[in-house]
Amino acid sequence: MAPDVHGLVGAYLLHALEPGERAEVEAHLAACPDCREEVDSLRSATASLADEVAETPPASLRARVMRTASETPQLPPVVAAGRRPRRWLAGVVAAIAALVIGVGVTVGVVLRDGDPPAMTAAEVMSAPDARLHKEETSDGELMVAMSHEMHMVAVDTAHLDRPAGMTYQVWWHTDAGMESAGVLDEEMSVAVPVEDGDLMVTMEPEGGSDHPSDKVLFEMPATSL
Amino acid sequence: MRRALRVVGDESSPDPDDDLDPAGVLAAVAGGDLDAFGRLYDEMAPLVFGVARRVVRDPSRAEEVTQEVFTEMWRQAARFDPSRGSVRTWVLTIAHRRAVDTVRSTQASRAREEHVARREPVDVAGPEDAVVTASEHEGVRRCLDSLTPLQSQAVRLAYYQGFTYPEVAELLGRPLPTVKSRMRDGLIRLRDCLEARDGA
Repeated sequence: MAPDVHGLVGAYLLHALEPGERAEVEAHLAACPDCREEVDSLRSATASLADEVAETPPASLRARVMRTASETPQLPPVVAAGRRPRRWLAGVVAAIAALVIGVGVTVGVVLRDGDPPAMTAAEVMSAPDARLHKEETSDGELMVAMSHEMHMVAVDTAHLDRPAGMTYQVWWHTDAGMESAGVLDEEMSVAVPVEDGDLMVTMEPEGGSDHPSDKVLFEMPATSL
Repeated sequence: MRRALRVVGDESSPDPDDDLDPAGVLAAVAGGDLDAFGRLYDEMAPLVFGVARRVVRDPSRAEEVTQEVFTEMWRQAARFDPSRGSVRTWVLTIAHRRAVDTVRSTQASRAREEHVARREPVDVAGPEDAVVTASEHEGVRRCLDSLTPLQSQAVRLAYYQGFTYPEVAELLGRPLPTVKSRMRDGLIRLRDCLEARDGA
């Protein structure tokens, strides 16, 4: 396997590639039996990740699925003379609408000593029980993730259009009053311990405020997070 | 012509691949057998819906994704190639891909690009055992716990939250090649652990 494509196998199986790279990997797999073998052997392990999140669907869904099937014509098998049937993945690819080709992007990595750990919000978001809330605001998308096991909430403001001179501040509104849980001056994301109250995210002047402004981007009781 | 099918009871055996003959059921589905399709649904719907619910979050959209996935199963049943993997893997691969595509197509690409352009990831020097999760569950959970924290986080953020690997790299503050490698060697370790479990 070509080294660059080889390294993308994990991201490919996790559906974590941009469409251009995905096409590159699939083209390579079509021509490389050894690579297909590795991908096949890992695909079952990838699918087993579903076991952790199994959830019974509403009973009404079954009737809808069955009705739709009864009204949907089936495709014939793909058989080409002298050739193996196309691997089923080709069917998957064909079945799913192509995505808009993404713009190639690179991510700069800044290494600075003394920065606060940025792992924490990602840790909360990747916790097995993390519940992710994506809030569409007038400034973009705010992500809030709650892990009951870790007893932490992560707030990620990286998708927000932050105006110059402004920052985002996280608050807990509890019986004891309004308490600042963090100011995102330097960071895009923060993880804070869960309090017994309402989580709020507001926009504030750089440096943060003593009391939240009227610009509330997110507000939700911890019990609903 | 209808094929004889095994009757699938409500009691599942521990290994989902063993409790029915999924390839046989799928062959019947390919022949237009709606009863067999119903059995496939009963077997797989909790996993498909669970993945969709986890990735797209919104329950009604998760139902839509589930319905789309099963309609694809119905349409494509004749094209399933058992030499490439199990029915279960086939269904779950399509389910996850569809869920992820649904999430990405509804996110503003502008916001995503800005997100990437503005992000300044910070490399974190820290103990690799930053996340220690109690191993309370059997199976995949236990095997997931055998991954290094970085492997586990990279795999989880991509699979359960639907992030692309550049987004995962940003969230973890790690270089792209590192994240790519951790996803791959994380899945390899997961596979080896699951195979050892099943072989035990």
